[in-house]
Amino acid sequence: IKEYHRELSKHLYNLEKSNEQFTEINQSGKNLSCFKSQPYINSDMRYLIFEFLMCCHSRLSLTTSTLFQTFNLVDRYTSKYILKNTNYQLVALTCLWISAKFFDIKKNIPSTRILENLCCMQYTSKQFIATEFQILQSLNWEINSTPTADSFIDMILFEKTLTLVDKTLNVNE
Amino acid sequence: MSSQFKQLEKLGNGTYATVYKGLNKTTGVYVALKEVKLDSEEGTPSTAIREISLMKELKHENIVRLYDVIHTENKLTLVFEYMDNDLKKYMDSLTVGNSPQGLELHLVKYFQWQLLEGLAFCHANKILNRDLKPQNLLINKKGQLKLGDFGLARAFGIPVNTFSSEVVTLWYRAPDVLMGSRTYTTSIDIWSCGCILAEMITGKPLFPGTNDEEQLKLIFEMMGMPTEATWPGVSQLPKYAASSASFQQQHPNAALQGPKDLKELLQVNCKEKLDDVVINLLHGLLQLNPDMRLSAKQALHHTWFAEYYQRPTN
Repeated sequence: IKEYHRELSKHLYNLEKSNEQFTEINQSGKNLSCFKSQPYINSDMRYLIFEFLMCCHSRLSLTTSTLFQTFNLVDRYTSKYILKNTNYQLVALTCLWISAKFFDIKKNIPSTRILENLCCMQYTSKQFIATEFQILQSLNWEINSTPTADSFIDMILFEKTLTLVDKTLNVNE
Repeated sequence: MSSQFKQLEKLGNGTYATVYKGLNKTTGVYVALKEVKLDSEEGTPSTAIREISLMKELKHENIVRLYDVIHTENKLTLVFEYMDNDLKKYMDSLTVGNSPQGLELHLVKYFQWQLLEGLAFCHANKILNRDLKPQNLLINKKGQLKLGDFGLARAFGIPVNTFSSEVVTLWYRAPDVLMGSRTYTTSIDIWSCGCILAEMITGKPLFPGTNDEEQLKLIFEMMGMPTEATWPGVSQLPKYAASSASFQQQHPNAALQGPKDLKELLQVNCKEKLDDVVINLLHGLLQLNPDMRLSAKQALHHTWFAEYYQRPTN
């Protein structure tokens, strides 16, 4: 019971923290109306780009958190800066790169060569490095500051297992 | 290099960078400048991305503050709060002749309290430090202690993902990690805290192993060999079978031997009289079974710290 308590209190802490951040999303994170005002890109393109990212993500076999974090980064960046349609893919791939560096183990992080191949040599490794810095700088290096859907799903699933454990314990007692 | 800072002497090498003392020319305040070389092929190293984004979230008085990030052509400079010393150097400076000295117990308690405060904050923010050791605990003349160097730190999800087992300096590495567990969680940092507490008391590292096998042997000699009864699931760990076999070979009677008396062992190297309360806390931190270890938050509520939490908070 002791160990179980520990997990619970830790978990509650996290939940509390995440909720706190959740209310902040409106101010610091993504913003739909900003995205709509983009002159060169639109939600249809966003759909295609996200599909493309999902393909890349599964081909590189990265973790689930990486994918959700990538979407988050792309949306946050496009809520802040006007983007040419030709650069949307570059930004998207670079966000995937940054998320992978954050969440994945070293051997799964794609190299610039792999990134070049993923976009059929449309962009060069120099462009990826420059864009990486541009994104990090403009998002103020805050990669992990907004919770993503998958972290909530994980949390809810975890809560479920805890209640199950709790029930079985009660039966035993 | 930005002209805002004047680079002074080198302070040391971090996990992936060089650290210099620096002076902010406009404010006259000392800072620590951590320089990270940028790879011309692979851009910003993942360690730097993690350290910066994680430290941006962690604003706590027992965690070193990251003030700024300066990016130039081929390197990244992280501007940190400057601290006078680290715990390792401080303890070394107390050495008399060849015999290391422990800290005074009231200081041990104050440092341990601050260490756990900082750590509890990290864990509540879903961040594992993964590299706690005296070298990474920075102190200043006011007696403040802060966690520094988050080069190996990592965010963790609720069902903890599989991480690398090549983390934490050997002496402070938890037995579950040594036996190849990859699903460790906050308990990995707690083990290190226990090792550091013992080291502050005696002035000597608790388990100074030279390789993985010896490290486990030292731990088992002191704490006893874990079994399925004391630690359900331990036999499933990748390196359990090998380590238990070699341990039993060297200590045929080990199964009969319980854990050693920590109090007796530590008392030899400590001038002040140790009481059972601190030993009880130490046992809570140094549980072999990671699920049995205290959490940072629980440890802060331990009776040993009663004088801190019973006092109205400042």
